Order: sequence, then C-alpha cells, then structure tokens
Amino acid sequence: MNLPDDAAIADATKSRSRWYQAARKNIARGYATFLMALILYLTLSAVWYLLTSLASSKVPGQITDIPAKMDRTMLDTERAAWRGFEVSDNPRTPLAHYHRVDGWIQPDKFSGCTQAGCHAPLPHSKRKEVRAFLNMHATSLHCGVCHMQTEKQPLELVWYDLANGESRSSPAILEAYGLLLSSPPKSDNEPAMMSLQEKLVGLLQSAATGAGNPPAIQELADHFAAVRATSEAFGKLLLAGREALPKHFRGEYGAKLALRDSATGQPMLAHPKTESAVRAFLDRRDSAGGEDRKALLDAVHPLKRPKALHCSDCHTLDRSLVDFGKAGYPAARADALKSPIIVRMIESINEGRPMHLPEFIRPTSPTTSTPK
Amino acid sequence: MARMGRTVNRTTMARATMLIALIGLVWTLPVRADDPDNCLLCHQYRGLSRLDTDTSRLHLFFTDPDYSNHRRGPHARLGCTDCHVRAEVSVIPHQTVTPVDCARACHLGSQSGIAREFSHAHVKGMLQDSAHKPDTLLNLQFNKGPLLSPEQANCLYCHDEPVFRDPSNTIPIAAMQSGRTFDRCDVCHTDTVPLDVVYYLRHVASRLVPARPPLELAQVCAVCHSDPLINKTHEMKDSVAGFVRSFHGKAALLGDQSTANCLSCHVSAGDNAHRMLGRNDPKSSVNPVRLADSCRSTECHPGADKSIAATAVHLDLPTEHGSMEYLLAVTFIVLTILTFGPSALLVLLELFQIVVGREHHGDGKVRDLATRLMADPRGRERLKRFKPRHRVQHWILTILFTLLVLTGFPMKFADRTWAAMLVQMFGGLQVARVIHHWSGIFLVIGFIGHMVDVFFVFLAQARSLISAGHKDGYTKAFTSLPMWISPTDVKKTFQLLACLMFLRKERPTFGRFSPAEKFEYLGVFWGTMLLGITGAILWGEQYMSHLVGGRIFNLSTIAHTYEAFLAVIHVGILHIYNVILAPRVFPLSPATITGHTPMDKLVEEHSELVEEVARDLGLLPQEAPHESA
Repeated sequence: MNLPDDAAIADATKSRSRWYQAARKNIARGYATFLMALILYLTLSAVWYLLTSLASSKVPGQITDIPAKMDRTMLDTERAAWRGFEVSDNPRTPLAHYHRVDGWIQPDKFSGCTQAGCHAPLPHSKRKEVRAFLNMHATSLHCGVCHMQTEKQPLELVWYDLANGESRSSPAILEAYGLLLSSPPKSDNEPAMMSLQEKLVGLLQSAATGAGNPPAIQELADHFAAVRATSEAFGKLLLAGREALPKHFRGEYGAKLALRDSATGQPMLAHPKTESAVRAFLDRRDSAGGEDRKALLDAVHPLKRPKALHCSDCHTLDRSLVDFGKAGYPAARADALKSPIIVRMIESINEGRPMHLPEFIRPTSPTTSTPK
Repeated sequence: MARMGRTVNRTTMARATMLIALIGLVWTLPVRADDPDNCLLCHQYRGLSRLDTDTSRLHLFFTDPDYSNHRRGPHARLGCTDCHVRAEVSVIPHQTVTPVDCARACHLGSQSGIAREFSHAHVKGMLQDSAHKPDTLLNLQFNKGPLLSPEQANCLYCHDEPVFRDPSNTIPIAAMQSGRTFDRCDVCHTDTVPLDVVYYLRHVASRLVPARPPLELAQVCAVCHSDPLINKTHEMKDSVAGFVRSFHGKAALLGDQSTANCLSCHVSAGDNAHRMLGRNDPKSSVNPVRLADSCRSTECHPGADKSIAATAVHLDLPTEHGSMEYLLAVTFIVLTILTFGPSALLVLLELFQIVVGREHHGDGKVRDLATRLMADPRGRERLKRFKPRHRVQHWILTILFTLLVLTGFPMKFADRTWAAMLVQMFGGLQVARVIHHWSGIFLVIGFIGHMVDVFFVFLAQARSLISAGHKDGYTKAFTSLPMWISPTDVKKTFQLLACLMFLRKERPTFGRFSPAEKFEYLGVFWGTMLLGITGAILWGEQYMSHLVGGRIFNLSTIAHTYEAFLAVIHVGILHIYNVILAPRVFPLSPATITGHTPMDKLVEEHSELVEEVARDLGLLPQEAPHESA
C-alpha cells in the first residue's frame, strides 16, 4: 500500500487552502455586489421620492379609484381592483347607479365561451323581453347547459368550482338548506346535535364565501356557532335558518352547473378541440362575412344546439330537462324552480305579452313548522 | 355616595346597553321583506343585468334584498314604486323607466299600516341658496364625459342608497356590545319587539355619527373637486389633493373616524351640507372672516388662538411655487441630497473595493500592538470605543427611533397599503399617535440626559486643562470632545474619498471615532432637536397657536416630515449597513453590545486610538508617534 508522502499532503493542503481562499473571496465579492445594488436602489428610490414629492399632486386611489361610469370595463374588473371600494365601510356605488352594489357579475375564468374573447360575461343582449332574465342565469349555469347539443334527458349535469374549474359537490348553501329542512336529532342527543351544529356552521361559512361574503349568511353562521347545540336557542335558530336561507338563493354559489362529459366526468366548459377554430375566427372576425363567417362560426361551435333550450324546458313540473334533486337542490327549492307560476310568467313574457307581477308569489319559506 | 354613584353609572350603562343591544339584534335578525310589489323576486339576482353592445354601457338591475330584509338604511321601508313610477315597472317587460325624482313624495309604511308622506323637496330649496345650486350641478362638464344619464337626479353626484352606519366604530360603548346582548330581553318580551321601534333606534343611533366616514366623504367630494375640467371651468384648485396631504386628510386615509372631514369645516354649526356656501360668501364657515371661529369650534380646536386659521388645510405643495412652505421643502430636499449623497457614495465606494479585490489590511505593527493591548485587561478596556452608558443610550435610542418610525411613517405615506396595515397593527391611529408622542417625549428626555453627560465630560476636561496651565481650557475642552468635527476630520474625509476613488494609495486612519461616525452623531444631535421642537409645536397646536402664527404649523409639518425622512434613510440604509450588513461586522457589530470593535476594523480605521492607548500604557514611546497615522 502506497501512503502519500509529506510533500503530497502539503500540496493537497495548499491546494485546498487556495480553493478555500478563492471561494471566500468570491463570496465576499458577490455579497458586496448585492449590497451595492441594494444600497444604490434604496438611495435612488429615496432621491426619486424626494424629487417627486414636489412634482405630483395626484389624489390617491383610495379616494378616486371608484368606477365613475358603468361600462364594459367593469365586467372585466374584479371589485377588489377598485381601491376606493376596499377601504370604505359602505362603498358608494358608481355614479349613475343609485342602489348599493357590493359587486357585479364576474367573468367565469373557466368558461371557454367568455375566456376565448368571443362572448361577454353578460352575453344576451338582443331580445328586450328576456335578455336580462337570460343573463341572470350566467351566474349559476354554464352557457353549454342551454346551448350545447346532448342526447341525455334529463341533462347530465355537474357542478364546477368557479375558483379552479374542477368538478365539485353541490353548493354549500343548498346542502345547508337541505340539512335545515331535514329532521334534526333529538335535542338531548348531544353528540348528534354537536355534529349537526358543526356541519351547519361549516356549510354556512362556505356558502358565505361562495356568495361573495354577504354579511347576512356569515352572521347566520356566527349565530349557529355561538349557541349550545342542545339548547332551546339552537332549535329556534334552526327555524330561523329555514326562513332566512331561501332569501339567499340568488344563483351565487361559487359554483356553476355545466354539462358533464360522460367520458371524463368533468364539466364541459368549451366546445371540444376548437382552439384553432377560435383563433381563426378571432383573426377574421371583422373581415369575414356571409357564408365565410358562418363556416367559421360552425367550426367554433361543433356542439351547438340548433335552437337553445327554452325556459320552460327546465322550469316545468312535466319532464324538466334538469333533475334539480340530482343536482343537489333540496326538494323545496326544486319545487319553487319548477313552479307553474314561474313557467306561466316566463311563457307570457316570451310571447311578448306584458304581464303584471302577481303579489301572491312573494318569496316565503316552504315550511316554518317546528321539526318533530 | 360613591356606591350611589356606581349605581347611577350602572343604570346609565344598562340603559345604554339596552339601546345598543336593541340595535345590535336587529342588525342580525332577518325580518319581513318590505317588497310589496315583489320586485325582488327578480331583482335579487346579481346577474339580472345586461350590456348594451352599442354604447358599451352596463345596466345593473340588481337590488340587494338584504338592504330591505335587514333594514340597512332609511330607505329600507320604501317600496320600489315609492320612487319608481308604478305604471312603468309593474309590467314585465318594464316600460322605459323614468329617472327617479328625489323630490317626489313617498309613503313611509309602518307596522301599524299607517303610511306617512315624506319628501326631499325642501332640499331643493336649500341647494338653491348654496354653492351647489341645481343649475350649477346641471351644467357640470366632467373630464370623463357625462357621469349621469340625461334627466337623472343631480342628487346622485353625492348620494347613493343611504345606509345606517355602525356606530360601534366611533362610539366606544357600542363596540363593547354584541347582538346577543339582546337575548336577555327574551326573558320578559316573549314576543318580538315592535319592529318600528327598533328601526327608529337604529336610525337614530346611526345618526350619532356622520353619515359617511371622512374617507368616504372625500370620495364623494372628489367626484367633482378632483375633476380637472370642473376645476378649470370653475377656477378651483384640486382641494381634495390638498386635503389628503394635510394632517386631517392623512388621518382619514388611515381610517381615523374622528378626524375632521370636508363638512367639519365647510358646513357651519346648525346648518347642513345642502346649505354649503362658497368661501367668498360672508356667511360661509370658511370665509376668511369666520374661518378662525370654525377652526375653534367646540368639536375641533376650542382652546386655539385665531391664528390657527392660517394653517393651510388644503396646502398642496406642488402647486404652491414660491411660497415659504415650498421653499422650505426645496431646502430640505437639497440638504437631504447633499448630506445623504456623499455618505452613500463613500459606502458604495467601500463596497466597490471588495468587488474589485482591493484590500486594506492596515499596518502590521498596529495589528501587533492591538493584539498585545487586547491581551492586557487595561488595554482591552481602553480599546472599548463605547462605554456601558453609551451602549445603553444607543439601545434606548434604537427602540424609541424604531417606535417613532413605525408610528410616524404611516402618516407620511398614508396612501400606501402598508401604512394602513401598520396603523391597524398598533390598534388604530389614536393608539399609534399616543405611542408616537410618548416615544418622542422619552427621546427628548434621553437627549437632554445625554447632553448633561456630555456637559460633565466637557467640564472635567476643561478643569483638567486649566489646572495644567492652558489659558483657553474651555475652548480646547470643547474642541477635544470626542464627537467634535475638526478640520483634520474634513481633510481625512477627502483623503478617504481620494483613496476609494483610486487617486491615493494610502488609506487614512482615525482615532476613537471616524468622521463618518461623527457626522452621524451630528445628524442625531440636530435631528432630535428639530424633530422634538416641531413635534411639540404640532402636538400642542392649541397652546402653540397662542405663541406662534398658524403658518408655523405648515412649516413645522414640512420640517418634521422631511427631517424624519432624512433620519430614516440615513439610519435605514447607511447605519444599518455600518453596524449590521458591512462584511467586517456582519451579522451585528459587537461594539453595540460589548463596546469592542472587531480587530480588522480597529486596525484599519482606528489605528490612532490603538497607538494612543499603546503610548499611555508604555508600549510605544511618547515621542514616537506612528508615521502612517
């Protein structure tokens, strides 16, 4: 066995030492360069601030950053983008709009129809009689539910999350309402009551988040969380919740219904394999006309129904195309949506007959009786 | 008696609690919807909207049902057709809807079924005599084009759907209560409390505070008063821009609910916003003749001298060229750049030496001397550059300075998001302000204590010199104070600059303190005095207004804010570098804790100190000073 001699060891040590010194020097240089850049940046920022402190008199965004006009640009902007709204207790509405608006319909980030740049988040604008009613559905239904061809009857639907575009269970507010309508356990069954309380509070908090945090739902959740599950007060709250919650079925659930792709189980949020067709259409949108334009549009919409679904295809007691129960709607809510009164109203409006709103359909809770 | 007093207090407290609790409960309980026309059946949906593709105008038909369901405002009991024409909206599709006339009579319903007619028609008369005449509002031309649709009520420039403000933000007792307090009422009142009573209480309670907090009011006024075209047409300055640069405006930006808002000054006591007058009107609360009394109203600065009116609430420096305030600001900016700039340059050049690999290791002999001195307890003690009392003073200064910056800078940068967050962390502007004031007081006390310390050092030195036969002992003692900046220091600073710029080979070395440290000390000395004096003037504005003119408040504000900025950039950038980030001391200079300076730094920058100690301890002959020094 050959052992290294002293000279070799000395050389190796010297080499390591040189390497160490070089590394140390380079680290020091790197650190000094970083500090120079940092100090230079901070110094220039400070000087820039000083010089501009006498050059600008701009009123800050907290005061001016509120939409003065209500136009298309608002639909492309989330409420949080307006700094003036975020810092106010009761932010004033955009001028020209008197009623309080704590938000407006937001573009569906996962709908191919709006994200492609073709359709506005409020797409219906032609028929005065129904355009606002149709747009009303844009918060809870994907365009494809009414506009995409499918043989399935009733429609095969799935909820998708507006935060990530993934399929999900039915909205928390519907689940919470279903839970409130179901018979609660006996009040002396503490574990069951506590479980009910925990579930309700969780669902109501999720419902509030999904609906954009309206104070009323959050307050209801807080009330449910504040009382003892086995107390009389909790029983009273269950009844109050039955009254209160239906007032928040406003189509804002943090989720939307879409046609379900049978193969993948995922929501169909765009016409399949149309990316290049969409690009081609957008490129020639302004120049193409007649048959050329029709051909482009046909390529973009391979699954388009020849005629979109009609309101009474779903809002009907007789063979509704939407199985509301299967979609997670509690029976009481499903009944309300299929109510013949609504259907008649819609049919009347659709046929161009002005109608007067009857007073007897004032929104009420389906039941207020004490659960047995 | 004391017990009786407590009982009375408890009774008052209980009554107040009941009032607030009554209000609080209704805040949370869902009540019957006031929607006799059933409009909310459709209008409760946010999506009930449309986009006019021809004009790009967005039509929102959504009306928040919670407003009426939860009685969130004084209009919550109105039906839609109290404002909108029934014939137009009771048919679907609606006919073309006529814009609402706010002067139209409406009917306030009560639970008893009795409707009371109500109207805002009289407001029109008030406006007619004000600066905001209906005709003036009608002819407003905005930079962005018309903001209202034709025939829409001009009221919309300032008003939207009114809401009851939660008084708990501004009334401390209200903040102590919660909605559940009302649960106690259930003991006796097994049925619901009459709704109108509760509504009335909420209405009254919300009126205990202004309808809008100061920031929201500024938003309202800014619609017109920050519009370039309107300001140009009416020959006005952007008064909101000036307001947000003032103390009140910055407090408003930071969420202070109690600071003066636009109406505090522009509406006379006993009047209302609809009777606001232009400043040239003799009856206006901001007319130069009446302004002082407006400032000195019981709610604002009751003890102040009338000179307080000379304080400019709408001072917008960028538009005040040539004024004394503008010139002072320019002076501070120039001084800041001239003092901070060279210091920053030296630091940058020091770092550049490392980058290019130019090293100064100091004199080998000095290093040997320093090593020998550090081995000797007497030498080690003498080489401590900072005595224990100085280190204690430094740490106290560090803590107070940090508190002052954290509580003061949000006011300087009130429009930044971090400023509001920082203020909230301290528990709101009122708390931050108290911390700022007391930190300032302690800083001044510490400064005075330090001056006393310096005075005794000076006195001892002077006596020693005089007893040694020096006739000008006091002068010599003064100029030999450790932090005295001598002509030699100035000369050595230029030598250092030349060395760092590769114009000179030898790096100069210093005694106990380097010129840069002396300069920093001078900055603290001058800055503490200036900030202390101007801070006291601003804090005690009512008392100080009797001693100095109101314009002094403007100048004090400018001096305080720019001097504080200089202090922050000097400490935050250069001092932090010197004691924390510099390669020779990273991660923290031990001098701040033990008083000892790292050997490399000692040898390179303070060799005169090493030699002085060595001579005193006999390691060097007295008559043989080191040449390189």
